[in-house]
Amino acid sequence: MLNESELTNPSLLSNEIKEDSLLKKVWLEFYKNRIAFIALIVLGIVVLSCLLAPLIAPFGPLDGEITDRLLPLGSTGHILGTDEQGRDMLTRVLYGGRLSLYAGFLPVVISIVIGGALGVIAGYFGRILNTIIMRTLDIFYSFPAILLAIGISAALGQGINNIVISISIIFIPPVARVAESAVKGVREEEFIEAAKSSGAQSISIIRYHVIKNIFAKVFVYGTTQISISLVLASGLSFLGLGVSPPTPEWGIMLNNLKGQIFINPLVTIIPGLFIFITALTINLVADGLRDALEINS
Amino acid sequence: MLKFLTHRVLLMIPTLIGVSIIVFLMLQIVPGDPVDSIVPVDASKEVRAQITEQLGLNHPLYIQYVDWLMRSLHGDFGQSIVRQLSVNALLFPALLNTLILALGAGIFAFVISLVIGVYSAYKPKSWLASIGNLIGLTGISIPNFWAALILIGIFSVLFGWLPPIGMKSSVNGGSFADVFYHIIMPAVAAGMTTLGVMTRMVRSAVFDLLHQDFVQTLQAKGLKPFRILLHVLKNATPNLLTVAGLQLGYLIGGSVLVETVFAWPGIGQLIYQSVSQRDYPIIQAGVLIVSVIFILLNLIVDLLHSIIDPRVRGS
Amino acid sequence: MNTILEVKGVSKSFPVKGSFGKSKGAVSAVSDVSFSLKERGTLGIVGESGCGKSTLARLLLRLIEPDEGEVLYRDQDILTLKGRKLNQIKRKIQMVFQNPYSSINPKMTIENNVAFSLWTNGVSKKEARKKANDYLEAVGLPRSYAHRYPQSLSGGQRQRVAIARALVLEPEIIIADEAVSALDKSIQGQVLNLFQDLKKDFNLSLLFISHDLNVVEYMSDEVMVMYLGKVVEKGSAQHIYSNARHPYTKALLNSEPSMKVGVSNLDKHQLIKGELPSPLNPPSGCRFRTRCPHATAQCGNAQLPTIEVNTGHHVACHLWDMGTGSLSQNKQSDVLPI
Repeated sequence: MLNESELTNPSLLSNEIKEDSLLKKVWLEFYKNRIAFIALIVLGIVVLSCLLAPLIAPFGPLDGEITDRLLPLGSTGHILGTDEQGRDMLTRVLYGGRLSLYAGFLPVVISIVIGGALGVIAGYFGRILNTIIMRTLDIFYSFPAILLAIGISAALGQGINNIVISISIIFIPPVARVAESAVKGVREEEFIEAAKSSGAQSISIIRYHVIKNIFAKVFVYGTTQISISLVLASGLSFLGLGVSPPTPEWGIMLNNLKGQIFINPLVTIIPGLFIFITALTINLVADGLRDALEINS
Repeated sequence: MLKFLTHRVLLMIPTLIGVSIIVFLMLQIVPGDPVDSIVPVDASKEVRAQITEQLGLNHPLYIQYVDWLMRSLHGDFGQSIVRQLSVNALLFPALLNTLILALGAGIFAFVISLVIGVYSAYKPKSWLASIGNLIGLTGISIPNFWAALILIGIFSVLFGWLPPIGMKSSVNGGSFADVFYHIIMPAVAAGMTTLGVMTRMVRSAVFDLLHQDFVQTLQAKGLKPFRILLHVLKNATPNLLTVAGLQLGYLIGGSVLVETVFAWPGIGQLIYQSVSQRDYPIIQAGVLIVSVIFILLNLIVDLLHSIIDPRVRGS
Repeated sequence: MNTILEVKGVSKSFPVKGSFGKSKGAVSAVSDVSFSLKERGTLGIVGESGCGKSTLARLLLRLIEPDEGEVLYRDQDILTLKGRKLNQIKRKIQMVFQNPYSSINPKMTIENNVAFSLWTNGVSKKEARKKANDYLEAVGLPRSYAHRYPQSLSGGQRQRVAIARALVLEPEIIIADEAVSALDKSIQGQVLNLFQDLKKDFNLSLLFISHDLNVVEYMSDEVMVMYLGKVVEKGSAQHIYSNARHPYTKALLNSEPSMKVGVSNLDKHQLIKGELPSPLNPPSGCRFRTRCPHATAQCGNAQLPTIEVNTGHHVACHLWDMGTGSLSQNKQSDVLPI
């Protein structure tokens, strides 16, 4: 049987060449996309410096002399100037990023886990379970996201974790929708029927066949949500629903500084600049990732 | 058409009920007794009991809900806790101001995104297409409250051209020109996200359509590029309309931050102030009203969609 | 030869819902189908697309639950089984699906695709992979393919993987549902021969479903012809192909283009008129009567007889009824008794 035409095709018989894993192929494609790659490096630097803030920040986040207030950019010892209390802006921005990034990333992770699970259950088992889950989640589409987040945050009370909860809640329905429609597509595939006829349990089919095939879609969707989550979280914090001063966080820092726009506009906009750069690079990375995955599927 | 309409309206009812339940329950999860936020700290037990009785808080939850729903359906949203005014007297003027701002932001975003989006789909290698790319990415990445601060920094602080806050001048304000003068920066800031989303959306929708078979047929027939573009736009209209409608909804509910920065007397700012003052009747009514507008807007978009594209009615 | 699988009066219809969940009626996909498969035999099932062949296959595997009927595997009705007992018998009947691009999980290696059937039934992963490799070799795939992903395989190679996956559970019956239809002609032959070889090597009984008359003739000992969910004719392959009795079978055989150079048989015979009727509320009585050149008033009667016109050769048609069953014995094959 081995002397058949399709098996003697030399390109198919080059067995020695180990096939690249999908992950490696996606990475190679991503690497070729210069803009996305540079964005990833910038994002990496921002995230790392924030995480390492206690090691690399020149001052303590709460240290400041009121006499040094609102020093301009490039002042000696304060490269990004100082805020309205005379605290070093670079230090505050690095420390502040830790909470902002936390509130940007965590809701996406939570909503992927919970929304993904709901979507898989609704999509795989269908029928009445689908109707109950999806119609309930549909209700959340009738609220403008920010307003709902403000409402939930307001009800839960001030706190960065309450911001995380409220953003997670508004992100769960769309993630569930993406997962559900992806599962519905996969469920019709013949390999699911083959698995069923081999006597496999639903749990096993979901684990090995369903989740593996919808993960990329849900993951790519999740990456596009990170920047939205970051901007939303800092917005809620800007409204005073997150941490209380003097704890640094990009949103609340921007709010505290906004009154100084007439005195020192350049220093005032710095925390927002970091939110913007982080969100922008995340979007560029997400776009690059989506393109790389599309080419490889 | 009538069948489609009734079908859609009937489908709206469970959604509206669900929304009202969520809005009602949202404030039930508030820690602590709501009476605390009304009565003075040193109030006597009798006073507390009287207030509890007055607000119906001694009844079971579902009765409170039905009671609240019935009153809301009659347009009675109660009294503001903090300000000695009815919720309606505060809410509806603010809602009007928000609609004005949302409309301004929508016009700004839709016009620019349509021009740039279509052009960059048509000539993807042009410099305008690169700018379109940049606008799309910036729009979806920029926090609008930060954009608002930058606009103030440039046009109010640096050049002194535009007023940094408010909706009208304190002296002789309120004319169309005056409001227009005040609305420019808030509208641009609020429309930023919509501009980004719509530019990307228009570009990819038109780009996809330009590469379909029917366009090649039209080219083969020798149609002028402009006429072909008209065909493409006609095909893109239903989807663009849907997205535009949704975005208008987001603008109505999502301008809280911009309204706060510019002190625009809209519903967002009112809700935000009520959040910090724990004025729950206003929050409840505000979120409910905005959501109902949002749902109605979706309905209108669906109806327009079905008029333009009759295939929708079948499904 | 013993009968390994006997199907008695199996039916399935799907309700069709209109707006607001109102029922619009039911699509009768499979109606009162009976047949038996002999041990180590091959039964071919032919019919146009939409005739219920694939639904029938899924009913036998209980991927879809039948409305009524019995499916006896070695005299045991598998429709009444549950749990472990069902799973044990399920493994004895395995299917090779139509579309090799949809029937293999693209996110698993070839090896894991095959091994999954085993480890999901409690075999250790190491053991399962070892066995999977043995079967991949048996279907003619080089060992080095085991760690590849399906995207680098051709359609024919994928179908081999699908066959290995069915075999790894050591079944006694293989249902091949249009298993070569998606393949190039040149590859079809290889896969068909593979089926023949494996059937011998592993003592398999084969249920071979296809719309392609040539393929079914090549593979089958016995043939069953279906039209709109019903069996119209069944018998030995020899009888059916040389002496078809049902007007539909005849028309079907006539519509197959000749493979001989320069010979066209298409215009010489009557082709089937019209379109396949909607399976939603199909014609009463004989479902073929709306397109049958010989239809009479009695064809609409609810009671449609099944007549044995030859040993083991059954036809569901009034033409062979009328108490003149013996007439058929001496009839010329292409002349109908009217």
